[in-house]
Amino acid sequence: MNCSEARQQLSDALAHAAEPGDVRDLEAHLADCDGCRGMAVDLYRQDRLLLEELAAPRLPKLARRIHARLDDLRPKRGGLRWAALLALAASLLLAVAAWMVFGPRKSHHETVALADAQGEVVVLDASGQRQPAGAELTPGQIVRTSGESSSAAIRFADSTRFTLGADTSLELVSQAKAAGKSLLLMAGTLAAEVAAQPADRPVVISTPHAEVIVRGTRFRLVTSADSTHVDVQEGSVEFRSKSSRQAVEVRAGGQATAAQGLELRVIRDNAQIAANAGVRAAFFLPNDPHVRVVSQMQAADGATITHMGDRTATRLATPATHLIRAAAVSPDGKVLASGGIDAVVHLWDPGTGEHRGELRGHEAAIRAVAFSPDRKTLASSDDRGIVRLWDVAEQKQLGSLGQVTVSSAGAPAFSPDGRLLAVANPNARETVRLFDVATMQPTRIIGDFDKDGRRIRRATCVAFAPDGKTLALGVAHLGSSPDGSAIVPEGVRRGVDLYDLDLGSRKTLFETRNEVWAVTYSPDGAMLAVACNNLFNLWSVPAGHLLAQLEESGTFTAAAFSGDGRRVAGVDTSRTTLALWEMAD
Amino acid sequence: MENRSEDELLAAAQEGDQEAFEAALQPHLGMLLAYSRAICGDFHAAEDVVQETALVAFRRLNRLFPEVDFATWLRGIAKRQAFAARRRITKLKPLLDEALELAYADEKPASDREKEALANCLARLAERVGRIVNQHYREGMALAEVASELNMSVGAVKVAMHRARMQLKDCMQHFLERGEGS
Repeated sequence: MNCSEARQQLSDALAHAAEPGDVRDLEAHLADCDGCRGMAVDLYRQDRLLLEELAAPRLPKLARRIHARLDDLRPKRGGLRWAALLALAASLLLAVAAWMVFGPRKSHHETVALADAQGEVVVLDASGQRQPAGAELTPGQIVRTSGESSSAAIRFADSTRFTLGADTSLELVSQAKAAGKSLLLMAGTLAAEVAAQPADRPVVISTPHAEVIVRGTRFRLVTSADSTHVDVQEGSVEFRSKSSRQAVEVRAGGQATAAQGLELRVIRDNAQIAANAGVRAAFFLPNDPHVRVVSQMQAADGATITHMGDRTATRLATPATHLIRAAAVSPDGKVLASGGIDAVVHLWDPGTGEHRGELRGHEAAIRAVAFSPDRKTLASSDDRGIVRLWDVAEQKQLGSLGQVTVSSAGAPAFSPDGRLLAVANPNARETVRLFDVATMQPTRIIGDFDKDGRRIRRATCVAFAPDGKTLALGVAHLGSSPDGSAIVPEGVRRGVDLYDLDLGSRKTLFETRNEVWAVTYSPDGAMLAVACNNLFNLWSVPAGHLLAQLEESGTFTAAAFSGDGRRVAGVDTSRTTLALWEMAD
Repeated sequence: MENRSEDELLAAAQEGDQEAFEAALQPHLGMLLAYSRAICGDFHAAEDVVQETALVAFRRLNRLFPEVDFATWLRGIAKRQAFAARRRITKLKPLLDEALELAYADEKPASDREKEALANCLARLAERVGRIVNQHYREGMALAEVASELNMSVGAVKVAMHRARMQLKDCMQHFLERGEGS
């Protein structure tokens, strides 16, 4: 299948009119053709716009349908309907059947009692409806405490006891003797005293970030939107990070957290950033602890740099056609470059917003910009995969590296000595290509093939470690078909690899299902910030410990460290959102 | 007209206020329908998916954490519903699915400028091609139905639809970059 046929098949697939065989061929073509993958995203965007615009007349009827269905769910007053009678009959039958199966044994559930409720404590069912706060809890029920002085306890028959602190939500998932006790701590603080449990049926407490597996101990668990922290007083627990799937044993006196030594703030405030704006980049200037955000508003409203300390906004006098897609600040903080859909790179004073010049030569929308460490050279890549180098002082083009990258790849990356430029995912055969900046010729190709010479990973982004010896690579694994006949990207796995440039060896830092958009080293090279779809996290490298993680829906596309490395910001371009971690003192 | 913010509506909805939930859901219905239709392939299945998504979302509102974006959360539910519906009929298409996800990762609704560009560019399509696009996207007709309606072969309709997509893409890009259509 060539690209022209692939585009036709893509169009058929969008209309759900492609033959299954053609879809398989199309998938195989997409696995090898980065350009067509970019085209697929563009056509799906167009499909979305067409659907949202042309199918809009269907929405009022759909809204009425939903309204009617939600109404049906409401408990009805008055006489029972047929459906309710049938449901009652069915549940009676089930109850009889359950009694016949389980009845002869005494009980397969432990009694769970709600006790010591202080302040506002409510019990909700799975649909969020308030339940009468009876003494006994059943699976699926949620106990929620609200207010500063609120607390409650739930007690199991074996004297296991969980005490909920203020503003805590805890769901009783299971209390079955056969399965073990299972709870979901959605938010808040939990103090636990767990009696000895059967070895094969530990208590499992899940939080949004971690699982704690307990066989008998005393500990305290705190979970918030950002992290989960466990503090063990007696015995030991198994603490398992949900994202990294790494498990540690935490013994008495020990603690573990998903945000070790870090304080996380999520700034999601239109007033603070800029109303109706999309965040495009974040950067720090030397000697200023506060992050600045480059955001793009609607064309006529232009773009701004917002100082997140004093919240002042500096307007950039962008031409109406210059909708910013990518921005980067030079390492010395003197120049800000913005790349727009108008194929132009503009240069600005990042402090005052003063226009410093423009770089023209691209023929397609700019996808990424990057400064060399000495700020003399700028690299830019566009939607056609062309990478160009520019002399920043002279504001002229040094040359083009040709079509070497693809639309889905992240920013090109300079080596710390400024002599090399790494470009991710140059084509179907290569993972990364390194160029000599002086000669603009390729000096090294990093491939990654199976025994039959097929590429098994593609790169999505690349960064040099400050020592220049390691490349951090965002990667997506391309699966192989069972009979080895073709590359079939079933179950794409993604993640970050660390590639040793001296040894030519790689090690996996972590794996995720989310696309990795950016990898950024801290100035001292001891940490790596990773921006992914729905995930922004921070790793110690090369040890590979997860230091902190924010897991939420969104598109994190860039990260920036402050000069002292004590702060790191993650940019979520899907919303007006900035995640900011600060090292605790 | 609802004056409360989404956060306020969701807070009320979490207390069981169905009207508040419907008001919070309303701005996202178009996106959800488009997304579900892209996965399922027809509006009937997509409308079922969106309805089921609304029910599941209302039941699980207590699991919507304050820092999670409502639209993205809804899409996650719709995705599970739509894929469950689709898996019965077709196999997974990982790279096409990836493209779909990227296309919907941008939560911002289409700008007025994009809508204007689309309307402008749709108007520039040849009359017959415009009818094909309209019948497929507005009326929800499968390409085979469009072919029979317009007395064309299915192959010819597929080719015309493909050309329409390419023409729209170029036209919109030109419109947005230069401020006018080509």
